[in-house]
Amino acid sequence: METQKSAKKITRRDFLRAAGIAGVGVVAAGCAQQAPAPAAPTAAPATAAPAAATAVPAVVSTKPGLAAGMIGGPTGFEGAERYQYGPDSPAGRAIEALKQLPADKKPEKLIVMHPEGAVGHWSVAFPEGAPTPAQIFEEETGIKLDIVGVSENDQFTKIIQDTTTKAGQWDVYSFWGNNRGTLAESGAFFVLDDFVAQHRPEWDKAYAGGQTTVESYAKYNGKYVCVSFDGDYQSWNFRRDLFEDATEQKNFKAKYGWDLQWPETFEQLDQISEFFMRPDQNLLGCTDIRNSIWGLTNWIQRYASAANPFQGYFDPKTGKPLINSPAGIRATQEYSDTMAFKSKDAVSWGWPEQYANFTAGGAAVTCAFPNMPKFLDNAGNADSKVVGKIRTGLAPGRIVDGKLIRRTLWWPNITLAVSTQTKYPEASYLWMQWANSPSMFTFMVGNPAGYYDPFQNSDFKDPVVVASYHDYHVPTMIASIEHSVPPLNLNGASEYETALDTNVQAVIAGKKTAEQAMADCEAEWEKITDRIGREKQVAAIAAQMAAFSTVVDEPKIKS
Amino acid sequence: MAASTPITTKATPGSANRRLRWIDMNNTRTFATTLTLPAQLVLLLIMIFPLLAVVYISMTSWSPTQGGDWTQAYKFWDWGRNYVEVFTDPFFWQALGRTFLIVGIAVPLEFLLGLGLAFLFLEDFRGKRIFYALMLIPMMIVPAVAGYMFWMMFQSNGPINAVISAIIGQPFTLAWLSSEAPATVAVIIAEVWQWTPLMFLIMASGLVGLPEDQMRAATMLGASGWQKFRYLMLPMLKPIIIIALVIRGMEAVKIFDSIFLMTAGGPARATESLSIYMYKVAFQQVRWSFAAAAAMTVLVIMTIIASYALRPLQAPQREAQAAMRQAAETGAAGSD
Repeated sequence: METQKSAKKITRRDFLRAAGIAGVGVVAAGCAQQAPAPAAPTAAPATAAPAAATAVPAVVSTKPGLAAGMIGGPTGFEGAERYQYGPDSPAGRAIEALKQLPADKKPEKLIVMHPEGAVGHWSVAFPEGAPTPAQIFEEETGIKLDIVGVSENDQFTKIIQDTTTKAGQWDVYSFWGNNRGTLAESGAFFVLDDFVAQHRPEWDKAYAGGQTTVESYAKYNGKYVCVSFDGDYQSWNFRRDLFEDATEQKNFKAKYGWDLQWPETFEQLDQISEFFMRPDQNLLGCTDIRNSIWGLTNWIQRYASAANPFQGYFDPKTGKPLINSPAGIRATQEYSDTMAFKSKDAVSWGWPEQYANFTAGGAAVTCAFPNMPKFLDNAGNADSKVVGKIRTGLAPGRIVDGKLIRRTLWWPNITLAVSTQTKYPEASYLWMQWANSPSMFTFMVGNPAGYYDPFQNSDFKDPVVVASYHDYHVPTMIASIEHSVPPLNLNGASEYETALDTNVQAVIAGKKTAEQAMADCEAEWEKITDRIGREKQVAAIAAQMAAFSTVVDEPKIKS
Repeated sequence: MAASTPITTKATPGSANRRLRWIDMNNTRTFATTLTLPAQLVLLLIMIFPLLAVVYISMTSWSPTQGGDWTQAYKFWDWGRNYVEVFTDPFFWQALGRTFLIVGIAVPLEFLLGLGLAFLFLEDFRGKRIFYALMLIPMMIVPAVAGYMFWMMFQSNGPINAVISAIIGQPFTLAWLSSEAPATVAVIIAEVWQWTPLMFLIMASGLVGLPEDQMRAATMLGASGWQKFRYLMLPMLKPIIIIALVIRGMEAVKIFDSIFLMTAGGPARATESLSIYMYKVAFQQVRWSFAAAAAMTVLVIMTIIASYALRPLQAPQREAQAAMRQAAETGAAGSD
């Protein structure tokens, strides 16, 4: 009997059974680790919510190089006083509050996730003789800063990992602003309402566009959850040398009956694009992009300007999509039709191809990030054939009820938020308030070592920023902010974007009509909303309405 | 409360033996289990556990953006509604069909080209070593780099159109990556270019390994080149060909890098393969439980296909086993 038992071989079935039992055991053990899961943005603890705003501290500056009445900021170079701050300023209040934090709330070091391409704002001293912002912060608060560069495309994944595993690797997260709703609903962001009330960042005074910009940049579902460190508003660039050429002007007027100038409406833009479409001369009419996802920036501009004061994405009362409408169909049809004025490869052109083409003087008009004149209309750029030949303009729009509606948007925008996993939420927030203050942000945004773009009123008055971005471009940047709408940054934004993108791309590819595409997209959006939860989405959509610009203009061009 | 009874630690004769009985090395089963345990544990960790985790997640509607980690996915248990959604999602089936189309064209092309090239390299010629090394270069290029390379080549003003223009004598400016059919063709060309060398390598080793005496005998008996190929080489190469096609086919189903770089699955969804579809669902839309259900569905489909594809290899084994059984039975009957 014993011999028989010993001789029995392990069969495949035995092995699979044993392995299966063990596997189920491991999974069960994993499931047993039940950590609490925040289902929504975490509110600041009661202890962090004071009843009243902080009183202005009586502070005497001891730092050499500071102007009279200033308590902090950069020193050591000509014009440094422009970036210094007094005690009753957003930066001053933040620094003083940080100094007064009790030991258990004051970290030795703050670990900040940051897009790789923008780390230079923190690590490279500019101008010569200036300290880096990280040095200033450490000098004034004793807190070290670890600005960790993360690949732009990895930010979202790293935040999800940190939140779901509760690793607490970061005090501050960085992300593309489009993902705000999704990340806020995942419980990644600390709600900042109490800190904002206590420390008064005064963003409404600081940001161009005032409170609408604050709503667009910092809030989700009516709560403060993040802070913008970028002004990624899509703005339009055109070739001044072509637009001001007497022969071109004469020929254009003869053909279209109105003077060649920066257009007010998309119909006018499309005529200009058609006029300059000369592939035989290596000149494209208009190269606003049409590639997957990123191209939506240009679809949204055509769509959002279709109603007075704006055409929203969803009905704020029911959450029903508004895209399957004359506005959506028209935007989609135009988006496809205007492929005629672009490279044949436009659907596979991203920013690098578009910037390179405009650098080589390959297009009459394009739409890009605000930094295009900074990089291309730059005597230091030996490759650029458009130095001194660029001018910029506000997005074209549509005439609705006799009013000119022009809408652009920010996309994707470097945005920072305090992690729910940090042990130091208040210190993290205060660092953000300090860094985002008019004095410090303007000091940083002029630094060419990173790609922050200006968006604060102080940025547009700063000689370094204006010299870098060009004085002709400043009014365009301000107007773009004032005429903007937010992107689809609700929970599930990426799903909504993918559905919209796939359908408009299908129209470009000739696989669907604009009507069919919008009907299909509407159905897909409804499915997404129902799966995520309509009630929640409707609340977020209603709250987002305050982020849409209501600025309307009078049309001037008679075409 | 009464004092607790002290635990008796006194050993009784034979207790050590009893304790160690479960690792009795004289027992074949125990011995085998002990030896294979580390391997089993590794297998459990790297194969079974992830698989079970995927099955578990696929049965819920959990997503990391809902807060909480995957261990709490049971809170979103929905009895596999994701599977219903996968089966009714036209985009999933379109991606599957598109992937099979790409694989169905690319892999046979790679095989034919690889076999043809292997024949060319059977004979010695000047510079054979250099050409041999050159042949393998595409396979050694990182797929993402190859994808970017082909993205550039297939631009409307790129080298492919330039060559075609030169051949036909007039400007040819097809936007390959902007239209459905040309984009699919471009993706297939990139795939064939990169992976034909692998087929070449496998076929070349197969051909070199064929028994020379049989080939010589066939030559002496007056067999033509085609006859030698059709009746001698091909049957002998059959197991290698099947393995090469199955391995390459299974690899090709995972096609991602080149498509991602060349078209990102576009225009619209024209080149969206299964991997691109899964990537979008999992990482762009963050629908992990749905992606898990889609992954499991693909796994089942691929397992069924692979088991059918490998049948020709198992047939000779089955025939041999049947013959042995028959011989044994015949022998036994004879001895009776």
